[in-house]
Amino acid sequence: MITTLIAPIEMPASPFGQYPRRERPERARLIGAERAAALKNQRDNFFIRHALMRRRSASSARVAPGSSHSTVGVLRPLPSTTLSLFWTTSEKRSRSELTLFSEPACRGSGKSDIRHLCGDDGSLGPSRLVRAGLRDRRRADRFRDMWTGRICALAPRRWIHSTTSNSVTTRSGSAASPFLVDKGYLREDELASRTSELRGEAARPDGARPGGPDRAEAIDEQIIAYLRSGDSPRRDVAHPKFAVGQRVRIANVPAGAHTRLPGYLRGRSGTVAQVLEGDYAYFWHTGDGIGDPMPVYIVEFTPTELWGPARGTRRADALRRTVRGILGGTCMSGQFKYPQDREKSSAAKVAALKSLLIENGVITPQTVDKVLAYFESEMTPLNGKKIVVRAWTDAGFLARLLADTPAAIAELDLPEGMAGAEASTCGRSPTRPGCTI
Amino acid sequence: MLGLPPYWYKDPVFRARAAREPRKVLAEVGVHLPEETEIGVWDSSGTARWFVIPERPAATEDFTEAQLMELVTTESMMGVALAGAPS
Repeated sequence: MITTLIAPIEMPASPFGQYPRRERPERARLIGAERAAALKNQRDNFFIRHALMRRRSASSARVAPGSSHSTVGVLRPLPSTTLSLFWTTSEKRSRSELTLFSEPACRGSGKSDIRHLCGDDGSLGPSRLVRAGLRDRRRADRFRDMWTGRICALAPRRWIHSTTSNSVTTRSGSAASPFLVDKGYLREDELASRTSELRGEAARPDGARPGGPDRAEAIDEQIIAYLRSGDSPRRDVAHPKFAVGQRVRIANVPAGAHTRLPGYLRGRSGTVAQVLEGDYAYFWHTGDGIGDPMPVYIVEFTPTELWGPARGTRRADALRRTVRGILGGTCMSGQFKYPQDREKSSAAKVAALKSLLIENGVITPQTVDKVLAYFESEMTPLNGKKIVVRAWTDAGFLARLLADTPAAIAELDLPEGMAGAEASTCGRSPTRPGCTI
Repeated sequence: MLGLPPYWYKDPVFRARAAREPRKVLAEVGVHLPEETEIGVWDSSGTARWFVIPERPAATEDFTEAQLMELVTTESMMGVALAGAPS
């Protein structure tokens, strides 16, 4: 059996306490045992098969007895001198993209190392791992295409966010870098050397960039225009298969490179609460059914279905085959403080990305400031406040808001890009408040 | 519509706990809801974004729009605070 031990990855403590433990340990063990038997004959393919295509199975088939860490995904095309892996621990699953080791030395070049990578008889060393990767080159290429599509769609926004103090998007700074390297915006070696230069130091002033002021202006305008108008995934009117009120069961499809289906909704039954008015595509094909335009359902689950006996109702978007849902959330800002240096490990890389992109003429020294100013001056909570106050003072507006949110919002004098958003609101009463996450 | 998300908006622990035990998480941030109050948790996604029209605080009938505006906090539109609560 393959032993994959990854050094614990530093994660800042969350002010919200411990990540909830997964609640199905018996099932996980069962899958683990089955997989372990199957793996005996599939040693070479294990890494790619399970890491790439069966993230959940890999996670369940924990291959490091005594270790709380396992590998669940590969983010770079193989073979590569650098691999980036999804990773998980018994406490949490995460999609951090970390450079874990390089071939052939198989030494850690990021924050963490693979300490051992061998079979139980010591036969599967790093070189065999890479050979296994070579055989699956075609699959890796497909994976790379999807990954690139994702970054292509999100890179500018994410990268810019990553210069603010947001840990998730700061990690996306790392996520964006393979795309930027692939596309020739910068070289991996210059990024690595700049990152190590900047590590532990304050960011130095950004270098000058080639090109005249006209070009600089054009670059900034293009980026702001992208933020303003976005890219609607709506393709057509809806062609729903299910109707409101119908019971549906969420498919438990194997996760591909990327999934929009939270693990806790897999195999669960819910009730269609709403059918969105359009068919929506996704930026790229995720490998588990999302990509082509398809109807989107809002499906309501009872907490008993999801978590066992409890009160409250949970809603999540569902696609025809899988559920789309991202958890995000909020609570009162002032109550939680993160350590000042929680971003330290990625700050150097983000600073290096920024300075190199400026030097290479991809963005200008003003781009980040302009984008942040855009969010601070136009895309502010003031827009939401205007909507709420109008709804409070004008019952007719509230009714229109609930009936057709985009049209109602268009009545207000909000910045461009807000009115066209296909936003939705839902009615609520004092006995039924909502919590968006 | 609500501006840049606060830094804890994507805290993995918060996200997981808010889905599993929203009442407890809300209580931790000072929003104590009676047992008979039903809590709905709404996922945003690539297709749909949600925001909450919070309840209008009592005794604000005479307030001007500017005064009302001050009562609406970002947190209240995210559903983790009541309008009018100090932020």
